[in-house]
Amino acid sequence: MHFQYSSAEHQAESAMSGMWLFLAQEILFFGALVFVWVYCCYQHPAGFRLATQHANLLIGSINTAVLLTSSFTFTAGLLAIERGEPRRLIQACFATIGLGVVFLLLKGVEWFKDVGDGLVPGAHFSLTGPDSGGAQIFYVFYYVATVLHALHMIIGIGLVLWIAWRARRGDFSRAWSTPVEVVGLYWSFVDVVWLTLYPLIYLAAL
Amino acid sequence: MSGWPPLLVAWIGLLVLLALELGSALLLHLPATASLFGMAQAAIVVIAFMRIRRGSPLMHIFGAAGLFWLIVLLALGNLDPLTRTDLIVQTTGNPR
Repeated sequence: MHFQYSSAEHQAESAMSGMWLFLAQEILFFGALVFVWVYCCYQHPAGFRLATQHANLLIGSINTAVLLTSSFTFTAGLLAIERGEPRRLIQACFATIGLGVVFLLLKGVEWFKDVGDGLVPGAHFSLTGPDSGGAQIFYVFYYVATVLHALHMIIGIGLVLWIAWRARRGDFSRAWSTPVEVVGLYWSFVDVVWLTLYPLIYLAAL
Repeated sequence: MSGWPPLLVAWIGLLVLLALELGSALLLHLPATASLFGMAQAAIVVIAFMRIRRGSPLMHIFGAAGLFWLIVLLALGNLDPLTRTDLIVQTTGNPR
């Protein structure tokens, strides 16, 4: 326990509160993107509909299920260490990392197909006609939002790997597992961000 | 929530909501409801996986503050563009 805390519970509560404060500003960070989507969709409804029809719904839906499952596996690991089972926590961490990597790989395939189909805003944008401008704005939102989310995923995978490494060292026990819980908050939050982006990108403007 | 069964129920519930979200948008042609399903899923993740109910009052305050300012951002930010009436101004030529 660090000297500035009155008890181990006080230290754990401060760590958890700090992560919630960080997540509160992350809500506003991604909230600005949602605001941009609502504003631009209202201004260019036909363009957004056209663009949404070209988004890869299959990959997006599979990725949503993958991410939901990864939150489930990490929380299962947290429950395991709270019962004093570090081995189960390590297994849960690697399952979570595996699912995170699957998500990123599928996202990469989706980006690759999008670029191949000419769905990159600019002079060579493949969707032509009167709604092309709105569709290009949609794809600006799409790339900014999904790249930012993927960066959060990469950071999350690094954090889960760190938890697995510390668990292997024997740092966590039934009595103390605060870092596992803090990283779990971050990982599930990244899941919540995707649950917000998924309908906006693939469904809401259909 | 604590223990395996509630966690499993939450995960299955999330996948069912995902199926309903897809079904409502593609089969019932109600794409606007997709965001409502997304919000319901987010609430389940916050309750079951982020275990907000086990948190201290300070964590609740930070979580609620994030949600409050998000509502302010979206509501006030969109108030003008969503309620503005576009008036068509007819050109009558330059009076001078």
